Amino acid sequence: MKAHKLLPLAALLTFGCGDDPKDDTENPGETGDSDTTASMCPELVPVACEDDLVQDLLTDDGDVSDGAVTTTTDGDDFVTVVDASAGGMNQAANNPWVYIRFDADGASRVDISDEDALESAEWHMGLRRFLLRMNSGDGGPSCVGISKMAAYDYADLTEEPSGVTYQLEDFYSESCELQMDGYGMSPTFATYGWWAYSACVETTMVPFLIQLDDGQVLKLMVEAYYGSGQDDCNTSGAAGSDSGLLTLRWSFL
Amino acid sequence: MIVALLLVLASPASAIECLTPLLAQQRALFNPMPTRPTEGGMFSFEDDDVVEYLDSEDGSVRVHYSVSGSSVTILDDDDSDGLPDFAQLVAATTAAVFDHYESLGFRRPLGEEEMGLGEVGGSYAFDVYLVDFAGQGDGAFSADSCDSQPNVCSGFFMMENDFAGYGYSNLTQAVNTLTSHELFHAVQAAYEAESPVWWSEGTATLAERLFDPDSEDFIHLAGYYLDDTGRSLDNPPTGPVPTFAYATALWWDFMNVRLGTDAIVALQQALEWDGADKDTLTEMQAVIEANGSDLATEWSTFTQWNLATKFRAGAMESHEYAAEIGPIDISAMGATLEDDNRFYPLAASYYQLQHPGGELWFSHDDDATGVIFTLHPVVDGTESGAVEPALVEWTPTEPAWFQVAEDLDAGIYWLVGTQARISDSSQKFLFCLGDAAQAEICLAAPGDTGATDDTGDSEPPGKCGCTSAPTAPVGLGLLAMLGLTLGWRRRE
Repeated sequence: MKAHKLLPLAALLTFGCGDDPKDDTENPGETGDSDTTASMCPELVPVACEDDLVQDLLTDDGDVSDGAVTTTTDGDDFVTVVDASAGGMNQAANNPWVYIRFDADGASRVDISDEDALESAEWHMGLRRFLLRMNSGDGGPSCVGISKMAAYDYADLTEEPSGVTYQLEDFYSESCELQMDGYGMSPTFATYGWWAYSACVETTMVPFLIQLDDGQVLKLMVEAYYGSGQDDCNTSGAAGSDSGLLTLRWSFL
Repeated sequence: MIVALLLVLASPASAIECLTPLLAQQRALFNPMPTRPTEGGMFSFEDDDVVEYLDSEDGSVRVHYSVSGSSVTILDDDDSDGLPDFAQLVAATTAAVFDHYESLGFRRPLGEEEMGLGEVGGSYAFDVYLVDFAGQGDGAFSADSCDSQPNVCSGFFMMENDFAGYGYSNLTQAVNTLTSHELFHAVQAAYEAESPVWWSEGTATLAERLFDPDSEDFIHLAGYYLDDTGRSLDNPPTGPVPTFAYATALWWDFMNVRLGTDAIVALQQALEWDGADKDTLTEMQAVIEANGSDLATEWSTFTQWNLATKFRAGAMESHEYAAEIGPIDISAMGATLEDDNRFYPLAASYYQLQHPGGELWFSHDDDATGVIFTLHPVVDGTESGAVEPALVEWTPTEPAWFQVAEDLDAGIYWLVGTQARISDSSQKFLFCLGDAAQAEICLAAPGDTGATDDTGDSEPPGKCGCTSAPTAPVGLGLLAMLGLTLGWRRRE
C-alpha cells in the first residue's frame, strides 16, 4: 500500500559479528536475554514496499507451496534439498515461494502463503527457482541477516570471523522501485553471487553466513541448482536437468 | 506459436528477452555502429554463409539472405526469376508495412541518410537480414545510431531465415508478423527510443493487427493478458520474459477500436521528447480525454469486455475476437464471496457468484476509492452462459455495507472489480458479497461499522456510489422490475 519506501529502523542496521548481539545498547530491538533463542527483533517490522513486493515478486491468492524440503546430514553438515521448481521458467511467478527455517535438527518447510509470510518471523529464507530471499528488510518482517564470504571456502568457515557485517534485504529504492541485477533477471537480493551464468546456472560455491533472528549464525552454500548435472554445468557449461531443485549445504557455527 | 522478437540472454533460467528499442539503443551506445549480421554479433551469418541481397520494387527495403551455409534461406523460386521467393516476400511485405504505417499517420522510420551514416548495408534502403535464430526467438530490431534530444534512432532488423520448426501456420503469417512487429519498433524509434517495454512491445504487437487484421500472433499474445488481469498494465513481471508486455496489446487494441488509430498515433507523438519527462500513463490518460472519454470509463469497459471472452462471449459488446481468447482467471467463486484483495491500478479481479436468489448485499472494510465494481448476469444463469452487460455499477469509498439488489433471480453472476485510475498503490480491502449476513462478515463489529441514527438503528457508514451501469441495456424500469435497489438499506 505504500508508494514510497520508509526505511524501517531494522533495515538501517547491520549486525557486526564483533558486537555482542545481546547487547541492547548496540542492537535496538534486542531482548537482552542471553538465551540465543530470544529474538533479536521481537517486533516485526512492516515491509516498506509491501504493495510493490506483492505485485513484483509474490502471489496474492493465498496459495501455499507444496515444494518438497528434505534435510539429511553429511558429516557435520546438513544438506537440504528444496524443490523450488514450481511453474518452471515461464510460470514461476504464478507460484508461491517455498519458505524454510533453519533449526537444530535441520531445515524444514514453513507452510505459509506469500502474503502471510509478510507478517511472519517463522521463516528464514524463501526460495523460488533461482531466487533466494531472506526474511528481513525489503524481503520480510524479521531480521535474518546474511553476509557473503567470498574470501572463504565453505569448509574453512569453522567459526564466525571477526568483523562480519550482516546485510538485511534491500532490493527496493527509496521510491519502491525494484532494483535488478546486471542480468535483469533477479532483484538485488542479499544472496547475490551464489550463481553465475555462461551457458547454464553455475553454482559459485561461495559460502554465506546467515544470522538468524535469534542470533544464531550458520554457514550456507548453494551446492546445486539442478537436480542432476550440476558438476557438468560448472565444469563444461552443459545444463543440468531438474532445474530449481536446490541443494543447500549448511551448519551452525 | 512463437513469440516474436525474442532473444535468449545469458540468464539463470535460460530466459528469453525481447530486444526492445531501449536495449537496442543501449547496445548502440556501447557500440556506436553496432555490428550488422554480416559482420558478427549475437545473431549473424556464419563464415560458411554466402550472402546475397535483393531490393523491394520501390527500393525502400533491402533484404540480405544466405543462399548457402548456416543461415541459408528458403530458396524456392516458383516464378523462376532467379531470386528466392521467400526473400522477395520479405522485401515486398516490409515495403508494404512501411506504406501502411505511414497511411495510418505514423512516421516512417529514420533512415541511414537522415542520420548521416552513409550507405550501411550497401544502400540507403532499410536493411533486413535473414539469419538463423535457432529457435531462440525469431526477430529483433537493432539500432544503428541514436540522437539524444529527441531520443530517436535509426536501425535495421533481423528475422528468422526459414522458420523451420516454428509454429506459424504458414510463411505469410510468419512474414507478416515479423515485418510488422519489428518495423514498428523502427517507427517507435523515430519518436522515442526509450519507452517502457509494456508500451513498446504491446503496441508493436498491436501493429501486427493493424497491418494484418487476421494476425494469429496478435490473438495469441493478446490472449495472455487474460491470464494475469490482476497485474497493473504498466508493471510486467520481473525478468526479461515479459510476455505480459506483449499481451498489453489487448488494451492498445481496445483503445484503437474505441478511440481510433489516430489516438494511438497521438499517444506515440505525445511520448516524443520535448524537454520534459514523459509518463506514458499520464500521456495515455490525456489522449483518452482529448478523444472525449475518460480513463475510468475506458478501463472499466475494457475489464468488462475481457470478462465476455471465450464461451462467455456473445451477449454483450466485447473484442471482435472475444471467442478466441480467454477466459479470464477467477479470483474466487461461491454462493457468497469474501475476499481480502489488493486492487492494483489498471488491473482487474473477477469473481463468480452462484447466487441462490433474492437480495444481494455488499460490504467492505477499508477505503475503496477509485475501485469500480460491476455485476453481470449470464444468459440462462448457467455457469457456461455468455456474460451479459452490467446490471449495476458501484464505486465504494469509505467502509460501508449496502444492498446491491433487492430481488435477483437465482443463477450465476459475475463481479468485476477494478481500480480504474492511475495510482501509486493498490486499494487493499476485505469485501463481501451475498446475503445480509454475509455482508456483515466484512465489518468487524456493528459498533465499528455503522453510525447509529436517532432511532437507535445502525446506519452503514460512508456513501454507496451505486449507479445503474451506463452500458446496461436495461432501463431503470427494468431495473426496478429486477428489484435492483441501488442504494442504502438499513441493517436488519
